[in-house]
Amino acid sequence: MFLLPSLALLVGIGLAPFFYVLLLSFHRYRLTWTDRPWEFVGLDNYRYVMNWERFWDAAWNTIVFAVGTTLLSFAVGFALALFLSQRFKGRGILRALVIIPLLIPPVSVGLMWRFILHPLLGLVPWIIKNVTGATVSFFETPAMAMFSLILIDAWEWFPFMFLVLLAGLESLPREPYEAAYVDGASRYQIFRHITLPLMRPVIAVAILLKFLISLKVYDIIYTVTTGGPGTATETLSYLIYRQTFAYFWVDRGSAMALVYEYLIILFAVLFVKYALVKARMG
Amino acid sequence: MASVRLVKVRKIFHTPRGEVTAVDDVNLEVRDGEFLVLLGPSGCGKTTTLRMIAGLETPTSGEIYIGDRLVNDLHPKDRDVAMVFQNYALYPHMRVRDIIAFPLKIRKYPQEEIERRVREVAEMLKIEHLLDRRPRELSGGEQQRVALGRAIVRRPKVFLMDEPLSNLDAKLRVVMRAELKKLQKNLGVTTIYVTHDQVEAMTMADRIAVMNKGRIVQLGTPKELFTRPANTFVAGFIGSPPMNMIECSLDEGKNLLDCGALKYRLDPDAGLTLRSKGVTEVILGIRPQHVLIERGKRPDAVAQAPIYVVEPMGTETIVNFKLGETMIRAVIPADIDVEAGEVWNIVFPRDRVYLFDKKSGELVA
Repeated sequence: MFLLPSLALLVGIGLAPFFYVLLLSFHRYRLTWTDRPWEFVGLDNYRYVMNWERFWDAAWNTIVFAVGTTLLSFAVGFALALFLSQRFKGRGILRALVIIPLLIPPVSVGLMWRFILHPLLGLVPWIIKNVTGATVSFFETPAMAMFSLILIDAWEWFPFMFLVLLAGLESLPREPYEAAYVDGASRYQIFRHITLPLMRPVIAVAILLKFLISLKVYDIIYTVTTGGPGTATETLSYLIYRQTFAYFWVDRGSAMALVYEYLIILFAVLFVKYALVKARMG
Repeated sequence: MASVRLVKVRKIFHTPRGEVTAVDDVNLEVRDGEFLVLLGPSGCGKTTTLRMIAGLETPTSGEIYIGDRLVNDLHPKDRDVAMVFQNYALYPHMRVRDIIAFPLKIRKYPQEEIERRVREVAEMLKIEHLLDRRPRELSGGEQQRVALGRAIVRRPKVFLMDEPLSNLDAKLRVVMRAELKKLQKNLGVTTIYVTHDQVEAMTMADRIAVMNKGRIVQLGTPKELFTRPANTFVAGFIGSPPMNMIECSLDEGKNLLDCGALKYRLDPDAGLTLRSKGVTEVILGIRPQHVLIERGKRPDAVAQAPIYVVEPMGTETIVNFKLGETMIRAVIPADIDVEAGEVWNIVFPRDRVYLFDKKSGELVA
């Protein structure tokens, strides 16, 4: 009885939309077809998506993007966390400064960087040109565009990695460090034999979270490259958005969204099962 | 092997509430192969002293020598000391085998040598069957042995132990106490051992340095500390139950100590000593084990009083008397029947009485 309100809420905002999308994916329907009923087509939408090269290209782009930004933001975040977990004057201010990128709305981040990297108006190309004489175009080639997106996203997200990893570092027990110190370990040896193994579960969680978040990337693509040049930086969520709300193919979009969702869930389950459990076991 | 020497070592901590002097001009020489215990209440600076010798803290001033070498600015790894921590500080992610091998591994010993030494140490400590376990799968006593193993395996010049037995249950503590002492004698390694437990200190130490408020207040063998406590602090800290301390003032004309409800007649020598040192306010100390009680009247009794509380301990009984504001404890054999409320005569044998200057707390006679 007392569960009813929350149950209703769960069904209303959680399950209902899901089943609506599930239903849609088995029909043929376009948003502009106001006078035609839904036509049941079975697995046609799925068959179409599975055989559609652009879908798989987008999937590949998504993975390249997610791997790149996860590794980059992890490397920067971890290095900073290690640095700022030491005791020194001004640490608090530096810690606060590091967080800033996380506080800027993603759309602003995208627009800001699009401007900074702009071939004609941007600050970075201008500096590079004046220092080296070379003209660099950050969004012209597919590889450069992807690289720039990874750079921008990692810039936005390294504070997140930093925070998670710093919290992990700060909660490590002190005693093993003192023991290792007296045992004669150097700073590098302490990092290698004490910090890294003790941090493994935290690192695993941070990377998993960031990777899953990166797989869903949309805002930065939308504001910086809109998937271009061509479809070189089109990720799955951006493709789904375009199909559904630009071309109004909600049926195909639904099918893609569901496939996409299952892939992510599958990945997350595998990751938790292997990486996380293994990290905890040591 | 090596001696350890501290020369005017001082440590000041800067806290938000101001400066705290944890260790105040400590001079100490630990002999080669000696088992020295730093004994004192919590906050007396004993652990800080130990951590400075280990290299975990830097002295604010003063010099620390290991052997003939000044080690103030030396990294712990170059001091050749091993430390056993109160909570053992085992590496949670490693197996016992790797924990013990760790000090050798980071010094890049050859693999066979590491294996041989780990085996040796494991045999010595009887932990061969635990080598493939992790710390969380071990009991407190087993963790303790592994921590010892990690310290021993390197054959350091000095062992530093920070209350290593305080996390064990009482029974195990007694066993480990004996084993640790035997181990230290067999290895012959200079050992500095920190504890707040006077029984531990008395049973294990070659010499004890009693610390209070950052200073060493007395240094000596357990027997010396027990029989000749230099001041009221040591007298009160060592011995169980603690020494009776009674405030008295000297009645010069009668050669008598007036201690409120009880009177103590001084022997002439003691009276002379007090007078020559100009001490008139005295603290009279006597160990409960030395207080005699008698049913019958005695001319030398310091007081006659009803028993306040009786605490039977098994082999002996602690009898408490309340004389005005002062409690006097006597330890008597358990076969003497006593009951609360009974009136007994209390006798302080002269050769068992300590007289301290009330102002300075120092032993006078």
